[in-house]
Amino acid sequence: MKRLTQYADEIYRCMRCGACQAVCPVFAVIGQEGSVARGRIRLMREMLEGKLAPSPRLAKYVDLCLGCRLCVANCPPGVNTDRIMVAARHELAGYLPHARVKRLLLRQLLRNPRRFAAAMGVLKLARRARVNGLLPGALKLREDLMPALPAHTFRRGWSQGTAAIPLGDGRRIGFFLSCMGNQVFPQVARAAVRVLERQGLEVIIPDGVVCCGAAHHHSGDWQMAREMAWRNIMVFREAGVEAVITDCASCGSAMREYAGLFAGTDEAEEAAEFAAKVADISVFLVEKVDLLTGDGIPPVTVTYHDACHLIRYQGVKHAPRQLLSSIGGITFREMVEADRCCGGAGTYNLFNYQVSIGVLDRKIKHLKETGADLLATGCPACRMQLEYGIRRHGLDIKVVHPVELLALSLGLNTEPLA
Amino acid sequence: MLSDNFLTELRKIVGEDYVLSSPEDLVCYSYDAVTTTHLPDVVVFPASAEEVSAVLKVANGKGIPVVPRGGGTNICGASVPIKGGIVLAMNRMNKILEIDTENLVAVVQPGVVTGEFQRSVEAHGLFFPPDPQALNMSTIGGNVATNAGGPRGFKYGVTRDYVLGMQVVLADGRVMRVGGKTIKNVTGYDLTKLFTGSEGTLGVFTELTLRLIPLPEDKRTLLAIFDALPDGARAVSAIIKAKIIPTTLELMDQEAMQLIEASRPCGLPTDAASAILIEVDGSPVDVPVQIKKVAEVCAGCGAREVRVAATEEEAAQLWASRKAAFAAMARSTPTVMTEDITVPRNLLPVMVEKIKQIARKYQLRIPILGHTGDGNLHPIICTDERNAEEMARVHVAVDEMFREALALGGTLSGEHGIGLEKKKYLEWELGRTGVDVMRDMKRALDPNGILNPGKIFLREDGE
Ligand SMILES: Cc1cc2nc3c(=O)[nH]c(=O)nc-3n(C[C@H](O)[C@H](O)[C@H](O)COP(=O)(O)OP(=O)(O)OC[C@H]3O[C@@H](n4cnc5c(N)ncnc54)[C@H](O)[C@@H]3O)c2cc1C
Ligand code: SF4
Ligand code: SF4
Repeated sequence: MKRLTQYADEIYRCMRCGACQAVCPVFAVIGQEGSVARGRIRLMREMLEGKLAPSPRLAKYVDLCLGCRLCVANCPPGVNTDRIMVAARHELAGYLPHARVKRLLLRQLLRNPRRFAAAMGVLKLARRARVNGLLPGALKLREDLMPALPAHTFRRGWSQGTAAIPLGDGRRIGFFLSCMGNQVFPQVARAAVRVLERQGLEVIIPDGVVCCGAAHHHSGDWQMAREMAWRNIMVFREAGVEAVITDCASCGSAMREYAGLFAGTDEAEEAAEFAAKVADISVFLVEKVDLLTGDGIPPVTVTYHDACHLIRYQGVKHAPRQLLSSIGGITFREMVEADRCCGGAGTYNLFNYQVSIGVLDRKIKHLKETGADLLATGCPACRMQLEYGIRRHGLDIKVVHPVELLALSLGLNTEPLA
Repeated sequence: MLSDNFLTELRKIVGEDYVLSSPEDLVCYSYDAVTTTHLPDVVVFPASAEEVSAVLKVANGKGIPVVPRGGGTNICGASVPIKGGIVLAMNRMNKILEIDTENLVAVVQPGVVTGEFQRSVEAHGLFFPPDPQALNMSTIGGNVATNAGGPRGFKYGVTRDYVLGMQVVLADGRVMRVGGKTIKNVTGYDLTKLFTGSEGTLGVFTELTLRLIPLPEDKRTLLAIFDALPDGARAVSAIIKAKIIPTTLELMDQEAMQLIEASRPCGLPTDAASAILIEVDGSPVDVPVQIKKVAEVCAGCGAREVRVAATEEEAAQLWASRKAAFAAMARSTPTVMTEDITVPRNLLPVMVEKIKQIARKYQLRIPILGHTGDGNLHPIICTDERNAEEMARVHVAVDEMFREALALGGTLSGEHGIGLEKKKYLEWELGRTGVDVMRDMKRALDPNGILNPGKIFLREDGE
């Protein structure tokens, strides 16, 4: 219980006021105390005090937490439930539902970009051959949660030389190519890099990066998370860049938390230095460059979904909205509860499908009410989930990254939207 | 421990999925917002009055305790199953059955979350005024059972003033309807009022008929800052004398303002004795006149500064400070205990001074928030439940506070209720006869003592 013990004070700070009930998306679906921060924290307290033994049920209640931090933002004493749950997952690793499948996924696939690519390849093949049966039991039928996969990965398309790199004005930045950016949404990564280049920056996309480690960290696999983080830190140190930019909300928040991951170790300082350089692309564009926005796009109504990993993990709220509003032709319309979790939460939707859909349906309802043509969001995991919800409800709304619209406005986007 | 047969019977009534008995689930229903906890033997989620009735019938037959539970947000231990038994979680019964815009009445199930209900009626241009601060997580059933109130209490009253009727299941499972859709109703005893505030000890609500009023069209807010507490109190009296009834008159004392500023700066003056946040509402014609008058009266009573919000945004900024208050206190200390004493309005400055003296005497940190319109004060004791020595001082201080409040003609609790936490004081306020009459009523309605036992009264039958 070492890791959880470190959170003992945090656990005792819960005053059981119940304010988390008002916002927890999982509680809204399940309606039982075990599915809300107050209950989960109490369970952990009893486990720490030795009154409850670790069990599959305990693990299930922990696992049902989305880590969305909505409760944290609404908690009078500010208890960091998401962090307590990460530590709890570590302690309960052996009891977690689908523990083996998840461990396999994380250790084997996400650890190494080439393996991830191979897995995606298998998925494509499986799709073509309609052999859903090949997938591990837990993933069966959930394959439809995945979006249509692109013909080529970012790296493959890029090495084919689709864009010329203009000479920068001396500012050199790094672009962190996420697994999702490379494999699932290469068009977003392409738009991001082109937009950055158009701002007059030299953009380095290092070869040696690996997964950011977010999923490993969140599932309680500290060791693997550190290994991968260190690799990324080293790669960007060699690249000698002023900033590390990402178009992925989750990678951004994971990398900005590298300092915490190495707290108390010799690598802490280096990790903190790296973490300070990491920025979400919308923040960097709005705050760090004299933004060129181009000629605008054909009139369109856009709404925006706040990814948990942007709004609450990185405090990014205004930048993407500012970015969207600065593009000519866009009418921006806020949706109700824009900052409420969509239920995607990494692989949550694969393993807790019913709950995830309950959370998603509420989001789609609010999306529909806006009457928007496009839904912008800065997170690929949210995007997959939202696209699934839109398909599920038979709506005609496209999901985009704000930077794709900027690329379009700058005349850089050679591919049709989404 | 309940027998397997009994659990099977419960499962037959509400369905397999709605009976929880694992140790993990029992832990999750062993607490509310106070520190005392106790495990139930089983948690049952009924979906209808019939199911509630069936559960009560079997429980009554076997003398098994039943504790109704809404959001579990009460701050007096009212929903802790202190004698074990069944926690009857009412959350599944969360439908708004009717919003009758002609009679200005709504019919709801008890598990509806208060805030959601308010938003639903507001969409019809109607208003359900009771506004306990926990309204986004508490339920209407819980509000009625604790007769919850809030800042708007002075102008609009408390939950009790909006309950017209109810369907309630009695301890033996009989289902009763009292009151109804009419404002006027003098048929027999006013049982609706008796059950309101009964803290789950007399019956289980399964449907509530609530009164609505038209939603005021406009509102305005100002913050008045005072260098001396009595000046603020004088201002409140003067406002009322000027025939204005503000919606809210929220007091923050110096210590509260200092804590708020330290945790989330809102521009409150930390050197002032108190600030009062005043909101008026009404028609767009009335409101500007009212707010101007209120500002003048405050200035005339020695306010050192009066900030009138010109826009909705500015109003939200002023409210932000008051809304941040509880979080600021919660973050400043491991344990907060919110008391709820209430005194006649004109004696409020006297009571505040008494609380300050008590805090000094026992070396405790007790910032004060209050609803000055109705004399309801929330001294918030900032302490640490793990520090036994300090907790001992806290308990004596609370005793003393209650004694002072009663001596001033006040009451132990304006809105939070008695539950477990204040039962030892009940007799101080009601006297022996008052307590006896209440216990007689309890015995008449629940002879086997199964409904929320161990609450309100220090001694149960046979103890
Ligand atoms: C941060 C915070 C702020 C608060 N602010 C206020 C405030 O401003 N004003 C105020 O008055 N209170 C306040 N409270 C206290 C609390 O919100 C109220 O007491 C509320 O009415 C409790 O509602 P609940 O649904 O949570 O009920 P619970 O806590 O679940 O139960 C309360 C009581 O009601 C009974 N009960 C619940 N449902 C039923 C039913 N269907 N039939 C019969 N009995 C039932 C229970 O047995 C119990 O005795 C606050 C609490 C917190 C944590
Ligand atoms: S809001 Fe925070 S303090 Fe309140 S019950 Fe939830 S986790 Fe605990
Ligand atoms: S992090 Fe999200 S899902 Fe987890 S308890 Fe908090 S609000 Fe609920």
